[in-house]
Amino acid sequence: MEWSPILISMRTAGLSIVVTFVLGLLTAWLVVRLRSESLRILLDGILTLPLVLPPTVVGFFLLYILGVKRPLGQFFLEYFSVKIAFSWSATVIAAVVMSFPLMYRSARGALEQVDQDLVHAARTLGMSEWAIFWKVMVANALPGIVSGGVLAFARGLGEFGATAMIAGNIAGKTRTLPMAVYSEVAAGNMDQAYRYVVVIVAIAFVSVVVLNVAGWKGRDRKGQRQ
Amino acid sequence: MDRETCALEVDIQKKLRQFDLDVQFRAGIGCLGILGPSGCGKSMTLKSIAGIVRPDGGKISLHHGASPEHVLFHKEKRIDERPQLRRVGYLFQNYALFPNMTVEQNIAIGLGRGWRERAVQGAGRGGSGKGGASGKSDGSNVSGKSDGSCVSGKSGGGGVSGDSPMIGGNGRSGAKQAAREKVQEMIGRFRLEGLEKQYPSRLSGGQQQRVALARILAYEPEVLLLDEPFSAMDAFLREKLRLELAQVLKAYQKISILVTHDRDEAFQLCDYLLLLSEGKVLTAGKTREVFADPKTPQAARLTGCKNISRILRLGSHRVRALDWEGLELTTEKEVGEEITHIGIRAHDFVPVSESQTEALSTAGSGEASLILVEDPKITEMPFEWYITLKNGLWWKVEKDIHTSDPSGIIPRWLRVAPSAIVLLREGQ
Repeated sequence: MEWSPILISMRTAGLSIVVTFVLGLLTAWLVVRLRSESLRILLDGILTLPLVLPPTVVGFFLLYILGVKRPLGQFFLEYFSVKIAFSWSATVIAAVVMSFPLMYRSARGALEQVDQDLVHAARTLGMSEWAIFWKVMVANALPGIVSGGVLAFARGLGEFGATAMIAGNIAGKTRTLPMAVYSEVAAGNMDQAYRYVVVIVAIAFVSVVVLNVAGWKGRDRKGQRQ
Repeated sequence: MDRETCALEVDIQKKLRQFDLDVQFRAGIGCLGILGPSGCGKSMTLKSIAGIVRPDGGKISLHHGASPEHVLFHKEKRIDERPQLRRVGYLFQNYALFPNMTVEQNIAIGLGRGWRERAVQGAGRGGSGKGGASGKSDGSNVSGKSDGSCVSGKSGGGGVSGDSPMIGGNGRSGAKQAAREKVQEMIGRFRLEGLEKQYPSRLSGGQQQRVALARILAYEPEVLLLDEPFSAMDAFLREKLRLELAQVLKAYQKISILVTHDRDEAFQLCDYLLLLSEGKVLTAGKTREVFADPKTPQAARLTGCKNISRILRLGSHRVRALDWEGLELTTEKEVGEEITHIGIRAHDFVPVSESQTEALSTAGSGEASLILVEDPKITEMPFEWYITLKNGLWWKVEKDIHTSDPSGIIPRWLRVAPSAIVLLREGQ
């Protein structure tokens, strides 16, 4: 059995969840803090778009921005000699963009649930905004944030459409597990496809369980579950 | 006292959904109560002072002694200081304890860098000696940064907050030590021993309030704001905690403002009173004086006056109450042309015995202010009878719990002492 799809998928999902988690959480904080209602609605719409668009359309946009003939793609190629489209990093970008809305929306919902009086109290006690974010908001919104992370991780692991558009299906380079399943089925190797399916189901299940347990542990330590 | 030199001046306007908030007042050392019905803008006023809500216009400033005024908010000068810098403590209705932190961590949360810098400065100016309070720190001769605290002269010892603990060493470790000592001091003062490692959800309402107060006072604010501190409690606990809070406020010796819709609470805890209705100040003054002479019908109602009537002025000391079936009454104070209403507190009626009635009526009923008791409706409370008369008057008679038969207490006539009639004028 060819092991590279498993390794590629693990690396892609692993790196993309780190990026998505941080980015989604900070963006959620930013949007929650916005005073202007209309700006918040606009931003929220744009940030949620990848969730509601067909993945191939998102992939199309990514290709449009990052293709070697496109300004941003050219910029990276010229100044950093990095070709993004159809490279491994493209699988990460596709996974981040597609899983971002799940992380962002869950984190935003969780942060909004935190009692505003806690934030006000923290301010009147002289806590810096950054300290309030970590010690008050994130600490009290942790279960929601973690569950957002779980969803985003699962979404990143299963990413197919956008990855196919921007990263392609290059064996040993950008062929992730979902890609490998597709390729094997297309080639008529049902046994091989079956093995990949078992692996992907196992990884997905284990990661969800691990993250959930971490979430509960976190809550227990904070004394919110009695 | 330094009421003049040490004060919080508030003059703010803000458009609210139902009315415009427009209040001006000055709070000195001691507790100022803001009394008003729900949704009159009380909480909004407090939140503006703390910097949680931004007013549309006006100015909020703190004055202490000779130090330059500390402007918290000034619309024209575009000053809107962050809540972190205002040093205004805020006790929330639900206490807003951080559920993810223990009692100890909650109390220590305000003792961050800002506080530690202040603590080191305090040590620098306070001289040597350890464990003692810094004595008279009135801020007038403090060198360096102008954060002279508003402590009245007599609060030297007694562990009153505002006195930074003396620390021998300097720098970070000394300040950290001071923070630890401060937490210990607060835990002792608010009787939280043994609860240090507990989370707020495990505490009773009273304990939560003590933790919230400890957390605020550890931070050593210049102004203490209390937003309906007893609204989340049952009646029994409320009375007990009011006594506790009275002690805390007495020891605080700085500016504090308490917002409430409960006149008993206001009377018990506040030296000064401000009556607020629909965003406007009705009356302000010493608590006792405001209760004795509320000046306007709305203010009288807020202070718990049950009987208020429009009047027709009959003479310099004689009025006819239009809402009480034209009852004529004699007043002690002269009834000016501007008087539009009178008020009589429900406890101020005196029953008149048969023999007295004879004497009074022969002396001339014009002067007597007798009220005929017709068709009384009696309601029993544990320690009071509520009696409503046909003409709409409320009369309350004290009783004990063993009495349940009201038959003996209803006389044919009631009397009101002319001095008990409160003269009121409708606001503009």
